[in-house]
Amino acid sequence: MAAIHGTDSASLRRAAAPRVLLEAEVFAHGSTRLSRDEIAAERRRREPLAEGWNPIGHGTLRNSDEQTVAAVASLRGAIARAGRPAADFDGWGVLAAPRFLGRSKLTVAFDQFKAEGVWGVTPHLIPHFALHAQAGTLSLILGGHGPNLGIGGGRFAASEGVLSALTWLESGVAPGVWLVLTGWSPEYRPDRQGEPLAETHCESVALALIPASSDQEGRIKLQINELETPGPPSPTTPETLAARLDGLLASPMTGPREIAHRSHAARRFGLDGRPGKADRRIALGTDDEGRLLIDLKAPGGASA
Amino acid sequence: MTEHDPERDVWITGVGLASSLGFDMATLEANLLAGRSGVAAVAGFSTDDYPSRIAASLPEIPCPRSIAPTDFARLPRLEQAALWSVESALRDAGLWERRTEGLRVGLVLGVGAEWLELWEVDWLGGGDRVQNPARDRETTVDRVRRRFALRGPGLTLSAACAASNFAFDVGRTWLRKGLADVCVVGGCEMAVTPIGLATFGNLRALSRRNDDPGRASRPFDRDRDGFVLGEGGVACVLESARGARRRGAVAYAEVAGFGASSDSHHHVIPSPNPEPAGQAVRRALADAGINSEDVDHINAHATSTTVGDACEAAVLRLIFGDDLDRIPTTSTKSMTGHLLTAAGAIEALACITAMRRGAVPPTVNLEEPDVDLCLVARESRLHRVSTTLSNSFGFGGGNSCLVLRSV
Repeated sequence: MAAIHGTDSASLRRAAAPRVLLEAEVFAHGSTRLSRDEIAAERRRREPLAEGWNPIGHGTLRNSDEQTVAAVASLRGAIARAGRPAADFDGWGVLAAPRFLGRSKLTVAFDQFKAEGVWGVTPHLIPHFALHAQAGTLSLILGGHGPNLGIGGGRFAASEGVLSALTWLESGVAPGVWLVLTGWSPEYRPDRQGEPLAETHCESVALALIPASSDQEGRIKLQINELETPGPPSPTTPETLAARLDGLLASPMTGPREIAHRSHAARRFGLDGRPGKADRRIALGTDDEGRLLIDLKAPGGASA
Repeated sequence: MTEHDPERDVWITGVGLASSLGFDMATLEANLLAGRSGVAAVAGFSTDDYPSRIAASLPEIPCPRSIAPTDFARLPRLEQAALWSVESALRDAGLWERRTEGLRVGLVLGVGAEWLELWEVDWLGGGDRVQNPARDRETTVDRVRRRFALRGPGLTLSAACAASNFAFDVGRTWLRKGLADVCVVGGCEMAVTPIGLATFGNLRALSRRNDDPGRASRPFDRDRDGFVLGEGGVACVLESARGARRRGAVAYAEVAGFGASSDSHHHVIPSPNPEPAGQAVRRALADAGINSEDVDHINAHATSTTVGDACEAAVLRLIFGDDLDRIPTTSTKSMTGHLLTAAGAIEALACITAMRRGAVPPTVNLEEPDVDLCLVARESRLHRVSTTLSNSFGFGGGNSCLVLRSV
């Protein structure tokens, strides 16, 4: 290792066990897995994300990519789970990490350009299908003034999204972050009319993330850990992440526990299952070099 | 002002660029200070039917020393611009050889419409990549990291035209948290394609001053009629002040402050309320530990649209008040065109130019200002600059602001 920038100490760090580089707490999450018909129905919904939030403008989602519509649906779930008023999220940042936004639209745009020339090209390509578009639209719908940013865009978008969110929370750019990960499963393969050649669903998971703190032991944490030895690259997906979170929350954090001596044993619910059960880490994926591992850290006793 | 903190301060110690005004810092500086425009008629495809037929396009991108010219020629221009900029920046910083010696080099680039551009270029060549997801394995950032064997984390991001400033902040945070030993940050954009030029033109965002390209981009001028697309790539090497000092690196500037916000107003129209964008500027000043009177120069976002320029003037007045009357303000998009996601990065270089050369680059074509700012019109102005601020605002309501400080 070249010894610049105090890398003597950096070398020592990497020789030890994987270290936590960044982490955040999962305040709430929501997820969706929608068919194209279901997305069409979601696109028409005008009611607010939750009671007390701003209604969605009539034309806000009209030209949006289907992944953006799915993202809104997952945000509804996360907001419902959070159970907090809109004002509590004032200043939160919005990060949106789609995979291959605009693929279905581009096939149509190419044919229109070929048939009609310049005037056949829709002006909506950049506002709705470039990488920033999903985050910008979600920011508009959420109605906050925290920063918004599109992330990734490719196969490892979800990993890049998690890395970005935890980076933002570390830097203090925003007090909390809405992180939305979306993609088609299987990947959308359009014909010349933009229709999928095989059945596919759009997955989305929305996470409300806050800085990690020591006073909320019961919350699930998202972590970026540095691996001593890089593993094979392993992209996470919205569906994987949502399933892991759902699994953790479905399992009782604190199972029933016998107290008192045998003759007076009684089952008492809601007591903490610790000590004796260590925190569990669930690997979700890596970055594209297999160097940074994304983990969910469950509180003691939880299972995935 | 705040005291320097070698443990947290982050410096820019290398730059690389591909722009219509040059492929190295010295050339860019000379052209900016001379007030030369990079805007010309679009070549490479027929533009007869286009409402806007001008752009600050890139000429042939030089081949980096580490790549065989025949290999380089086969790559998409977006990737060429990224490779040239990143290699140039690492060489400029004196870290090119060190990247394979265990140095963890992170890479964060603003790239706004990567897949749209790649799919279009492929389609124009007779391909069907857009219909074949299996071919889309790696982003441009991934490919640059693999080719150059960069061992730090990588990230592609976009807040549209506000993107590059975010890259500086992410890179700075990664250095402070030890995710990377050095970090290359910037932006790349190649939007001057047949469909790219058409979609922006049909959005009615572009200047139609086709018969006078060099005078088409005219921020803050009453006679403006839209912005001019630009192309390019810019990469800056960030490293900790402590590490840079230890190895005797030459610093271009300190990345002193960053702030960001969203308008939450409209997909493409900036908010008439200056408060949200003002919040980004305010946060950047606070992050740098300075007050508005400490700023010596402002590189405005000002793209040359009537609504956008007026909104930004209101934002600046809101934050700087009477101080604004003495702070030389300029928009170098009058020369470079609008590089979209790479705009903030090339404007960071314009800010560095002002600090290094003691002269503020001009807003060319500015003949009749319609805003009340201390504008540097037509010719560069000698002015001592120690602290400079650069705004970038974008579609999607994104606002970002970067403060750079001389070292």
